[in-house]
Amino acid sequence: MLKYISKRFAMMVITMFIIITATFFLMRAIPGGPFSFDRALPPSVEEALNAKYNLDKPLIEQYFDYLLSILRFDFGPSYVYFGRTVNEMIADGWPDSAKLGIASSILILIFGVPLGIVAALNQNKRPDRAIMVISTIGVVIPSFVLATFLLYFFSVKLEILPTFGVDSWKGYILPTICLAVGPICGITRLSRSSMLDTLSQDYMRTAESKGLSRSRIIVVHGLRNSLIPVVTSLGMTFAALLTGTFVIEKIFAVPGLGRYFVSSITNRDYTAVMALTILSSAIMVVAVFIIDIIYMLLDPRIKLYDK
Amino acid sequence: MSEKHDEKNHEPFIKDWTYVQKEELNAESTTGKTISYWQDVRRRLRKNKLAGGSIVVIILILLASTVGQTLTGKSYDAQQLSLRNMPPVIEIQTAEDGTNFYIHQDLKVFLTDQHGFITDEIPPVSASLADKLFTYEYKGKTYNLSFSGEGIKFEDENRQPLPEKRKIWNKNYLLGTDSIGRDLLTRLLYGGRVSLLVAFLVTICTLVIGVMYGGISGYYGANLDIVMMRLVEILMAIPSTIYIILLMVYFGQGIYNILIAMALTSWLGMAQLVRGQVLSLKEQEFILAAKTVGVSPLKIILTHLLPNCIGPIVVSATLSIPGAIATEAFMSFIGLGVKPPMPSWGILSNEGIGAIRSSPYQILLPSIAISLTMFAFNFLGDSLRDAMDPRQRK
Amino acid sequence: MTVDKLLEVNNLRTSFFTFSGEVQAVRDVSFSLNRGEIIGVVGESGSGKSVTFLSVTRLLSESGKIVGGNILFEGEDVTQMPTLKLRKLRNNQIGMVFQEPMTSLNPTLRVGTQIIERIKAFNKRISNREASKRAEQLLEMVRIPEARKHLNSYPYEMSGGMRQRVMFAMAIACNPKLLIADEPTTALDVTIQKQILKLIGSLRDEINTSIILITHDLGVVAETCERVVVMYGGMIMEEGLVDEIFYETAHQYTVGLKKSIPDVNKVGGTRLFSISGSPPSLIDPPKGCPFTARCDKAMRVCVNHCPPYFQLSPTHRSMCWLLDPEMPSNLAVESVQ
Ligand SMILES: Nc1ncnc2c1ncn2[C@@H]1O[C@H](COP(=O)(O)OP(=O)(O)OP(=O)(O)O)[C@@H](O)[C@H]1O
Ligand SMILES: [Mg+2]
Repeated sequence: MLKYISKRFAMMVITMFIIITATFFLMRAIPGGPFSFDRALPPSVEEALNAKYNLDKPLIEQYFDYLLSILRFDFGPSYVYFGRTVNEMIADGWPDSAKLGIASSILILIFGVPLGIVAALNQNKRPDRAIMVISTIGVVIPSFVLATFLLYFFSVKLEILPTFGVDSWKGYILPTICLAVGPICGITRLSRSSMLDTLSQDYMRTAESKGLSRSRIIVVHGLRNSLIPVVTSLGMTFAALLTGTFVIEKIFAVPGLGRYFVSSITNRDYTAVMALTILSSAIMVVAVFIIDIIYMLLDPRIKLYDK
Repeated sequence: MSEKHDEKNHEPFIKDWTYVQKEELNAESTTGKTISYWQDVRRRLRKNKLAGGSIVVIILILLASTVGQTLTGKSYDAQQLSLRNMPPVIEIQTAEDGTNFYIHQDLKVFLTDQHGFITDEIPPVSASLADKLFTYEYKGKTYNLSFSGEGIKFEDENRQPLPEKRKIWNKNYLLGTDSIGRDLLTRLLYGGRVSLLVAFLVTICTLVIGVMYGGISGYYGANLDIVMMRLVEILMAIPSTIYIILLMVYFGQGIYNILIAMALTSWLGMAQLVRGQVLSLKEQEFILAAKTVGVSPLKIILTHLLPNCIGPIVVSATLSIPGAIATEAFMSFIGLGVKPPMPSWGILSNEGIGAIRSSPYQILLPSIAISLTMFAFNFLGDSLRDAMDPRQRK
Repeated sequence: MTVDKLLEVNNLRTSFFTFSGEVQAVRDVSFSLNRGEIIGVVGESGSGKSVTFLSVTRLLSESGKIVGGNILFEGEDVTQMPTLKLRKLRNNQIGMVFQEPMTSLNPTLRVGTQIIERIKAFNKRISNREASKRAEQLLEMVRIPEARKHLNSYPYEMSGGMRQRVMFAMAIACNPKLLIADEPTTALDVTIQKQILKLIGSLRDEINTSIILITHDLGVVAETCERVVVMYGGMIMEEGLVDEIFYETAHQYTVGLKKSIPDVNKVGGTRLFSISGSPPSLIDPPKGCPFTARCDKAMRVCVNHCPPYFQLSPTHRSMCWLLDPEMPSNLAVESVQ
């Protein structure tokens, strides 16, 4: 078990290292330094700026400096908003993103798995058909397309919800729904097929042959086994939602991390882009690590596979 | 020997005790002819209405986006600033002398013919922002345009509304214009061309890279396989949107760049799929036979292995098209995709979202186009998968 | 003759309703089982053995339906039983061991848990300690070494033979009156097979249940059972005491099965005989005797008319036109050769 965990941990560290390295060199390789704006700066100013941000040092040295500072969770100064650090800006944006992310994660948890189970237990009957049609639509439609339809309907036609901003709680409703619909539908479909798969297993018949109650059969024997494949998807979704989302935050003018990410791309705020890339990847990679551990708890066979 | 007949055997019949030949029996017992797997797939696909509908929709979309744009007679980047934000459906008001006016929400008055074709814009003769009243003169008559709290009103000299109002299709621009007066229909069609082109090319790249990579990894196995698949695993750990964004920041906007960035990130799943298929096939006898006879590995992969795992590959490729459409739209939407003024559905959505209140059609049209295309490809992919699923074969 | 009947199946018909049509897996099957008796059910793959006995506890998959007949367990009709009663029946009257030891145990639950949950399902008063003690005892009964330790094992940590033993332990956990073992040895290798068969024999002596042993293999039946039911194409072809089936074989199908028993005396002997041809389609079953198409002695009457059961002795019956006394004797002589 310890071996399994440490192996996963090593994998996580290696992945992070690769991501950081790749990000760093990709950013440095972009033609023109961070201070080559459309209107060229006087060479002396640019030099001074480069010196200030240590950009005049050899690349390798910069790289190790960067690695060290990341170990201290220090993402350095912003190149665009002078005098502000990337850490401060992340601290500004994250709460809003996290609120949306947590709210939609809760929705996903409440609806995703139960709907899938209900569908599976009523396979090919009316509830199943209805759930399948709706979830197919929900999975296919991109979140920003859904957002435009919902915005048009609720904010423009009915005028019951604000078009943008999160000044009141009402502002959270549409973005939360837009974020949650796709994953809910995805999780519903996944847990349905996983549950169906489990229900057709021989051991379910064994459980039935023991005269257990239907609820025990479904909960103890069915749910646990059918949740195993769903866990990955749930974990990845939560991780992705937690770091904010580009499109939804842009559409609803939520001042979160995602929007900050987009604006730092357009402003060529390289330290910010790097920081946000690394941050999102880190959360994703940690999520994968946690998922692996949950997996191990759910499925005792994992230890065996991993040998 | 006692004999006990079942109830149902009461009916008397003549017992024919002569022997029958095996051949005779077997001729009777073989029922129906066996059909090949692909005939079976085709038959099941044909029975599926959803699949048929999807194919029709896909063909229409493909036709529209390839030849459609040449039929509109307009170019996707020609601007007509005076006719900006023109909706697809306009309300025209007819005066007693038969003159048709179209009052645009930006407080502009246009003349149209009775079919809704906009001929001219007339400027106000006097404008008073304080009274919120513009005055117009046309063919010796005076008209007033007021825009107080109750909305925009267009009235004749006696402050009476014009006798006739009707909604009519915009004949100049069938789907209206965008915020700088470009024809939305043309842009939508051209945008479709761009979006679909990107999606198809990315899918082809996915296929080529994924099949080669997965094929080699699965075929040679052993250490090469371990190394190749570890690499895929690590790359998969990076969230693909972030990976594409990074590449796009590096490459800069542009259709070729987005193509390359997406192609570089999308082949991982395909590689895993192909490897799995190849692994499960390569131990089978016909492959082993080919190997012992000394057929070259490339030939074995191409002529023996791939044809036998083509099913899942086709399904996965079909399903990756809508994925690519969504990714391109997403990237263009956040400004890291195709470079304007070239339109794509994502660019159009990006341009339209700001005007969702005043000109909702600008965002709704590309949204509908994206949804429709994605539904069609998804349903087709799902139907294909269902049709090929051997578990359903009975 | 008032032997106490434990199980009586009358004219059972079970079908699966699939996309391609109604699969008539069991067609008019009747038999009975006495208390304490051990019978064997033999037949090729697809002959409807599993479906018949899944019907007895109504464990058929969603698409399977009992479309006719009744099943009396101690005089009560299982087909009409309400859910709770059925659950009790499954829990402590009938134990089942399935054909696939590798997949019949839940991979994510400990072996002990899976046994204990049966013990506790209708016995709320039993404490956890007692239940696990009982489980340990059961594992000992099925000859699992280090029973206590194995209570905490997961199925994947055990071999196929061990898992099948666990299945037996689970099946007898509530002292069932009937134990149905569906090909318990098919998936196992030969030495393990022997051990499991020995186990079945000893279980019968220890807990005194009736046993139904389903198998492909007449040889296994000869060693273990008192009575044999031969099934083919969803019907019972022949039924009788072991000696009757072996020495007074009355059905051509049984003859074929008998030939396919490997002869232990002939070491490295001839190739194993197998009946040529394949079982009939059950979607569109033949009108006559299901075995006609593969029978060496098929007559025209066999093609169109299903033979009745000819009672050869109080315990021996068979459905084959060759047994019909109306059959011209010159043919009968020919057929004996
Ligand atoms: N769930 C099902 N759906 C459709 N047909 C089924 C189903 N289960 C069984 N059958 C059919 O019923 C027939 C009898 O199957 P059954 O499992 O009883 O055979 P068996 O005698 O137990 O064979 P084996 O020795 O392989 O276990 C087979 O032809 C099979 O195809
Ligand atoms: Mg069976």
